[in-house]
Amino acid sequence: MVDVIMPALGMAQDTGKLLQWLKQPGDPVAVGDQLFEVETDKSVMEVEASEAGFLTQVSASDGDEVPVGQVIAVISATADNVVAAAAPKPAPVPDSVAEPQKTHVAPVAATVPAAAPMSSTGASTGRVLASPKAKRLAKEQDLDLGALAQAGHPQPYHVSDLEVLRSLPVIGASPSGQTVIMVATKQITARCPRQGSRDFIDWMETDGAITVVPTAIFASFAAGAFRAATEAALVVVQVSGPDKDDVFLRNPDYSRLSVPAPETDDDATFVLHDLSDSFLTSLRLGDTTLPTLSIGADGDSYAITFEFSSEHMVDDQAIAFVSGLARRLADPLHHLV
Amino acid sequence: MREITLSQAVNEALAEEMRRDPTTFIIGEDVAEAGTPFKILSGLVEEFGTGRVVDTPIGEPGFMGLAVGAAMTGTRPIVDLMFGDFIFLIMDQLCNQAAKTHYMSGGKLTAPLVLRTNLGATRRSGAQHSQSLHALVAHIPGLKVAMPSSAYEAKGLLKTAIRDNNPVVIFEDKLMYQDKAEVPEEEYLIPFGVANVKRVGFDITLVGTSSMVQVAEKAAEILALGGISAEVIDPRTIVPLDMDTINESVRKTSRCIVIDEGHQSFGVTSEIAARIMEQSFYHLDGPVIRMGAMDVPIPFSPALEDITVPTPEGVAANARKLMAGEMFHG
Repeated sequence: MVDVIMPALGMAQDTGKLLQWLKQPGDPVAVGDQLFEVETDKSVMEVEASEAGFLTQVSASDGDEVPVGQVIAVISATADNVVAAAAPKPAPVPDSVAEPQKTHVAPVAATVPAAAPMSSTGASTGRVLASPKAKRLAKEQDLDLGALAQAGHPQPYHVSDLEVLRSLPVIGASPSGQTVIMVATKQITARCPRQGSRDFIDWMETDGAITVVPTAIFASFAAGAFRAATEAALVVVQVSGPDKDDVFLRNPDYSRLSVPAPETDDDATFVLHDLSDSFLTSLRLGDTTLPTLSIGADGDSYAITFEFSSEHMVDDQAIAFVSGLARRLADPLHHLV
Repeated sequence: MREITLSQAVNEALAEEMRRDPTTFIIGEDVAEAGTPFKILSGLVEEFGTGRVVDTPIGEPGFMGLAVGAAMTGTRPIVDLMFGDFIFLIMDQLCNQAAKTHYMSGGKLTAPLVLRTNLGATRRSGAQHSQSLHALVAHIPGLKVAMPSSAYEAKGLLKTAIRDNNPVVIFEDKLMYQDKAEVPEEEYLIPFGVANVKRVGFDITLVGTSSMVQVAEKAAEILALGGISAEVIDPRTIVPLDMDTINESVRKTSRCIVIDEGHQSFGVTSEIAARIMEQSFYHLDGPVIRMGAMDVPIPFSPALEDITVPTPEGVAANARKLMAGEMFHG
């Protein structure tokens, strides 16, 4: 997907006049196809497509004076979303006082790579196509049709799609009272050597004659790192095992490693997947209902993946949490201080 | 109840109204001895004589002008225009004179005439005898337009038209003259501007005019096999148009296809679809789809002629597309 911009064709040129589009919104476009005609002080030039795709999100009309560099359309991989976002018309431009063009300058590339395909957390950039009834019902029921677009459901939307919309995961509510659906989670990954924890477990088992399961250590270290990062008073770790029911541990970092932490009915603070006994190294489930931590063994390293959303914690806390956990796993002494 | 043909229903309506009102008379080509090429008026000249069933020379502007003058001076002419296609010949008499008589005279004059004519393709009559031109007339303020969809409507609407104090144009489908329907023995009138819900449904509304009501009903049967419940509405008169009934149905089903045998562009389907979108926009779950005759001269070739007009299969296909939420591109 690339943006189509108004090219600078003259030496001292602020704007170009879009004479006419030679392709219509939704038209397929091949590399080298003429997209539109632009008139500058002295010349009329045709601007070609630098990428193949479909002409979409056309935001300037024939006859518009468009500032140089402004995005006026997008060449995208599909013909979906051909309608432009309701972009403000370019501000009226005073009559050009530019110097007469003295040298002929070849048209610069009319396209630049788009910054990002679609914003991951904000509202969708394009206009949502939906039936009038679906739009009215969505408004009446405080549903955001943009969430369907973000979740990748094909447009246009009809009343039956509202059922799908209602079944999407809903987290929290925005200040306006509209439900907000978080589809993109944030992720932090880390790696740390396993040797420190191995030595620690060996030492406890041989010298202390205590049997230690790695999961208990992970839960304890993670709770401790979480508490340090967030200053939480209560940390409940939901330990998720592949073959057994989830266990909810209350403040496992407060218990001695030789004693199982008390189980609790409280809601989990985060989920812990211990992958160290499996061939899995990391999990990226994209589920945002709870912050989710996975610890996997990858050769001589632990691979740590933490998924969370801004509803759970701020980024700094999450970074402090993961780096604190990695530090504890690399050298368990950090857990004790 | 007894069943009679649309042709017999028209004949009965004319006979009853001519017995009732001595100022009524029929005027047109081949109306007396021949009883029209469709044999609709058989027997009327025997009962009412050539003074009230008047054969004219082949000259539509002439007898239409006579009828408008006669209407303005105290009689109720019933003009028989052999083919709807000939309406182009009488546009001035109809649209400039009859339609505006009441208005231009400041209400002092009226032109209580009825123009009976026909529409409909697939009769292998060629491009100049197969058109459905009612939209031309409906466009002109001052003219009422009735479109009977069966013998029952043909009789009830014609009797109402004859009693109306202003010009009314009735378009009968020439392919339906031999179609039978239940028609009561006793007298009845069908008021103008009251649509008929021919079939109750919940998923999609099919609005059809004239013979397209039958097309809509057959489409509804096809759709029912696939579990889609279609409501069929017959407006019966397009001027005046009963938008209340149409809106009520569309607001229930959220979807609509309008079917009419006139050319699709700038036609009756466009007008009804536009009104629905203006008045029931926020109840629509898809675009209102228009289905009219192709924008081509009606071909003589049977194979080609048959595909120019809406068919039940075509309506059902569009209805399924609408139910599936698919996009309609030009």
